[in-house]
Amino acid sequence: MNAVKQFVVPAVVLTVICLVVSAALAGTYQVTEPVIEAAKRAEADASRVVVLPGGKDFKEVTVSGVDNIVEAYEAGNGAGYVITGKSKGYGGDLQVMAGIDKDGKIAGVKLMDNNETQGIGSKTGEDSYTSQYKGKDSTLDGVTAISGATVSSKAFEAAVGNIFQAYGALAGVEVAGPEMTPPETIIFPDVTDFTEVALDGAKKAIKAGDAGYVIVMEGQGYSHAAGPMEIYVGVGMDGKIAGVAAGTNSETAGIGSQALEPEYLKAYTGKTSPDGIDNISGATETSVGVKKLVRAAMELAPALIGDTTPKVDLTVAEDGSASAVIAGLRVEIDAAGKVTAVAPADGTTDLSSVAPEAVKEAMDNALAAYTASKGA
Amino acid sequence: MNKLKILTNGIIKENPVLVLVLGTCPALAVTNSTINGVGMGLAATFVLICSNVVISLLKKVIPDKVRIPCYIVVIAGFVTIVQLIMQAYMKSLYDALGIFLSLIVVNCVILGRAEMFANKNSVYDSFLDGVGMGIGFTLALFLMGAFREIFGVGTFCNIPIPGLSSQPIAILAQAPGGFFVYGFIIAMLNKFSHGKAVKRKSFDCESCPSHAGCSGALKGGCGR
Repeated sequence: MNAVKQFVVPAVVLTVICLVVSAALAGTYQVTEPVIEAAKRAEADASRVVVLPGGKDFKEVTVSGVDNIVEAYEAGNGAGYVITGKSKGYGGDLQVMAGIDKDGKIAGVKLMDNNETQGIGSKTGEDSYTSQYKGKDSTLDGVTAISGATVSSKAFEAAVGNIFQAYGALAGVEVAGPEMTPPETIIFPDVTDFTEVALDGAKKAIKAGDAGYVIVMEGQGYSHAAGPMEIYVGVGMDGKIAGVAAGTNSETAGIGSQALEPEYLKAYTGKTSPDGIDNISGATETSVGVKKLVRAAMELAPALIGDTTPKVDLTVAEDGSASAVIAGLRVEIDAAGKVTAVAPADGTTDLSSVAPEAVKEAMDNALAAYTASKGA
Repeated sequence: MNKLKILTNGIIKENPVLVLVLGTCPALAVTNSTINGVGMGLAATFVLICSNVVISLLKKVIPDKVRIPCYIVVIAGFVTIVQLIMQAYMKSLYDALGIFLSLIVVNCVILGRAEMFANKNSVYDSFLDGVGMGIGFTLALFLMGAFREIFGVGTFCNIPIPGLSSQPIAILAQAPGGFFVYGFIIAMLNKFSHGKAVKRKSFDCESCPSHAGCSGALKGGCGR
């Protein structure tokens, strides 16, 4: 009997107390649970109202066919949508929540999860930047990047662009992307009539009026990039590169993308091959990828614009020396393959009216023809 | 014992925070604003009254061996109820109190009153003790919270005070400021009670909640 009092009673009492308390808790939970849930919903709604004033009773909706969307909510009262999208920023994924009203205009944007540099890229979360999105439609016309935080700003814009794609899918409307200058227009800004032409070996070829052709090549840039990159190579009627521009690509923003910037690509203009162009330090793979694609495009170019190599009239003497007539110049070459003299082809000796570049080109072409004849 | 005396005992003479020096953790942690201090005080008061009443009711039923687990279960039950209710109806206070709300479970004031008073006295007396101690606890937290908010932030119940809000003594609202103010208030209380407050009977070794398990008790008290 003593053992019962010593061991059984305490255990029983404690168990009973625990049971009673548990029952009381279960009762309280039953009563408060719906209120707590409603409060949580209201809190979540409140954060959405920040970007979509007037929105109420948000319901989660699924977006299909659009990438880089984190979540999407539709306002129950028809005020619009609140969509969170992401894109690659400077320090990883950058999430943006945007409210889009029923007219397809931005009601507000807010920077969410991000790893942008504190004090630089993080400025995209400040009102001074985000407020300019208010009232904009999907073209984002007039949105300016923060100076010094270009990569983050562009990522922010891209995330908003993704959000608009999702909005288009949800609302069932056609959404125009941001106004982007097509690469062929960057290369030939004065040309308006672009017509696609067939070209084997290229992804696409476009005839740019009478100014030349644009050859679109696709290939690998950075070996870990998510996909291939597109390079637009503009070839003038003279067979020289009129310009190079980047098309769609997945090169790392801020690193590989440097090799796709106009500042770098303008080095190609006026050349006939990528020889002698420096790689961008830190973006070697992308730079090399661009070069490869430009070289490939230039190999295809003659098929479109015809052979632009100047006609060389080469006469090889028996002792191995030669005389070549090119573009109105006569180039004398000795048996060792050295140029000994350049003179106008009409027999005069005055070269002052001929541009030095033309002389050099004539010499180069003459030597090339001479070497070719030796090899043959 | 005089009923009125039981009620008023906890307010000044045996104020749990300022005289018994119990429940200092929440007293320091949440008193950076008046509203938080009072909210914490009221939440603890509710738990204190309920647990005092229930433990007093059960004092004959609960075997001595398992009394601490039983108290903890009862107290934890009430704390969780308060937590659920606060979360449902006072969300902002719930967020402000954070972890300290659940830590009421191990609040020394509540366990101490269960051990010191409720398991020896009638239900009605225990109820009055709970009310008195609760008021004392809340009052102490209100004092600290108000002092720290007025001088540390320059506001009172979030209303800016002209002259103070522009140049607050920011450290008072921080953790070190909690210690400063706490020490200061205890010193003031002792000054005005001429040291009597710290010599109350129920503050001796036997009424300490840790008396049963304390090695110092054999020597007649930890301070001796």
